[in-house]
Amino acid sequence: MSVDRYLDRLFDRLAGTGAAGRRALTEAEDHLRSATEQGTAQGLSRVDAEQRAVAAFGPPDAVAAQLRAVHRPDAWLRPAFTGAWLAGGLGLVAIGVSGLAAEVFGRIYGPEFVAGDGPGVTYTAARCAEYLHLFPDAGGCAGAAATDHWGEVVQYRVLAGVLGLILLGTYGLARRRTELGEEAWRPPRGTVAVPLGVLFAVAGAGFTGISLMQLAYGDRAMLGANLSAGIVALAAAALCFLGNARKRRHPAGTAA
Amino acid sequence: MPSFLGMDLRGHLDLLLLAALRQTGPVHGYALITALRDRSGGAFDLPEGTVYPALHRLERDGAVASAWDTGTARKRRVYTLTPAGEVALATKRTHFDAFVAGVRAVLQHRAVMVP
Repeated sequence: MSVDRYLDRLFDRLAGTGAAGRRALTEAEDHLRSATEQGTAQGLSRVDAEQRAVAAFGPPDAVAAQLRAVHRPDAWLRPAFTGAWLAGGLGLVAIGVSGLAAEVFGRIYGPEFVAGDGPGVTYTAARCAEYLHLFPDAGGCAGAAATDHWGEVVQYRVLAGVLGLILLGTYGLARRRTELGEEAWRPPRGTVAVPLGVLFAVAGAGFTGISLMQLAYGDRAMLGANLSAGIVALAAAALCFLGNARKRRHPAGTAA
Repeated sequence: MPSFLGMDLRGHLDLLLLAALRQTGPVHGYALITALRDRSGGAFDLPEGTVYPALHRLERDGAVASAWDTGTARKRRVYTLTPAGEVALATKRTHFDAFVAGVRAVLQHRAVMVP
């Protein structure tokens, strides 16, 4: 088969692949012309050199099928899936850390600092009785309610963190033992760290800003809960950006 | 399917291409394939058309970058190893070394056990 005929067949089989197919066809032509030139330089006739070049290149069906597989429209889904998995795990772990921070705040500054109610919030006598039954040493209905809410803040956030650790653990395991470890599944560098860092930064600025406003206006409702979330989110954002910058300088490990 | 003495090379094609690209520096596809064949002493005489989909895949995954070189008689796509490609090469090489060591250990063990 001549080079031109081979390129015609390859062109037919790459129909519908757009720019990727056009690029592949240009590369194939350059390759086959170069191989033909080499063949003629070695003393082959042009016909023989073209036939040898075409034979060495492989059947157009197989080449086109492989190119189609690489450029199929859903190729981005795999790294997007693993990226979402990784980002979800890291986000949940950050929430868990904010739960631990809320625990520390509560122990240092008291449950009211973390989960105290705003001015004017009251409870029914029955509800107060429930809170005081749970926390008889809280020093009153408001204190008992704050202690209960503090426990909920810490508990739910830490549970989210545990779920995040499970997600990250299974991700690591899946990367070692399944095809998720292959390059095709790996999110390109920065595609997890940067968006996640931006998300953390926005959340951190929001929660910290709310906390500062509360301090300015003397509103202590859920102040510690907001502050712990803000501080941890800002720290997580810094870690994301620093980690990404470090990987750019010293590429090693995962690409995300 | 790329093969060497009947063995499937698909799992090692990326490693071979990344390693060859690291040694050659920026290069177009034909020269890369020629380098691969020459450096293997002709052992890796791949169906040359299969190398381009592999290069496209490596580029999609960020391991190589490419750009058109229009300074030659024909328009050519020149490939370069990226920092992520360096990492991928080191990882694949580690895995390959472990694989070879494992196979060799099994073969040597068998040679001892079965005289």
